[in-house]
Amino acid sequence: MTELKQNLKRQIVEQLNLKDIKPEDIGDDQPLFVEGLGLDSIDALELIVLLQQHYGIKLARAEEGPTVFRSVNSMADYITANKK
Amino acid sequence: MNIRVTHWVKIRNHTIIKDTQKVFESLEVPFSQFADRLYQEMEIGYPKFHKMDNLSKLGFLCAEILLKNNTLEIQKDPFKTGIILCNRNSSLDTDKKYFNMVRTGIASPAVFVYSLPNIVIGEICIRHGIKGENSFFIADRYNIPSQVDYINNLFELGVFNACIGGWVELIDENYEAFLYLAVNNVNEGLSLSHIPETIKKLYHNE
Repeated sequence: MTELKQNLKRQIVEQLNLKDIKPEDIGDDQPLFVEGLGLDSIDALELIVLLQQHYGIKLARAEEGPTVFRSVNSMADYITANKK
Repeated sequence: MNIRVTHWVKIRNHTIIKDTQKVFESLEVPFSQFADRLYQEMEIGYPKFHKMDNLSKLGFLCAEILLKNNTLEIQKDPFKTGIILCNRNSSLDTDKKYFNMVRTGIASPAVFVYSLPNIVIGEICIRHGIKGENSFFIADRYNIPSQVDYINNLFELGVFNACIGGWVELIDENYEAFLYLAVNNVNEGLSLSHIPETIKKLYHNE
């Protein structure tokens, strides 16, 4: 799980071009949107692509997005539960 | 109407000139490196910059230099400050990138959103709080009389108190940006008459 979270942080920084942020700066439970990393709606779409590209997971229901992408922890939980 | 050009900036051949003064020069490097160096040199601190496509980075940086210490006219009435730009290759640079993504794998939404040329105007508006009319024209060459006439008409109609005009062109590693600020009834900066001859001289000769 720790390795998955580290990979996720690295992938988030790369995929979203967060050049001013290092993977280790992202807390496991830090909110990714608004008051946390300040990601926006386009970033949310990029996170959906990230799940598909790196983990082969398609987000089945859009309404799950806010819960799944709340933090690195929630993304890791979702990947663990849904990875084939 | 007394529309005056107060400042201008030109980015061409790895060199940036503002109001006849060279303000930045870089070795011949790819555009992405040129843009990153300029971003760092200016200490801009705007993380969204890194997400922009190259056309938007070019226009954004040119506007940063143009409006540095010079946003008073925008602050007076952001709804009467506009941006009218044009170029030759639209957003083709990013369109090609997106097309190759679609062909070879999963396309990036962050690339897709830049597959329109007027996004560069949006980025400048967001950064500087500009809320007035804007348009991006595509033409084979920079038609200065047409653009000046169009902008002056909008001043005459009371739509503008200030306007950024110019040319922002980028395709592969070929890039050129020229922006100027025109303001109604001020006597500051260069205070040049906003007529085609002025803009032609600034764009072609300086």
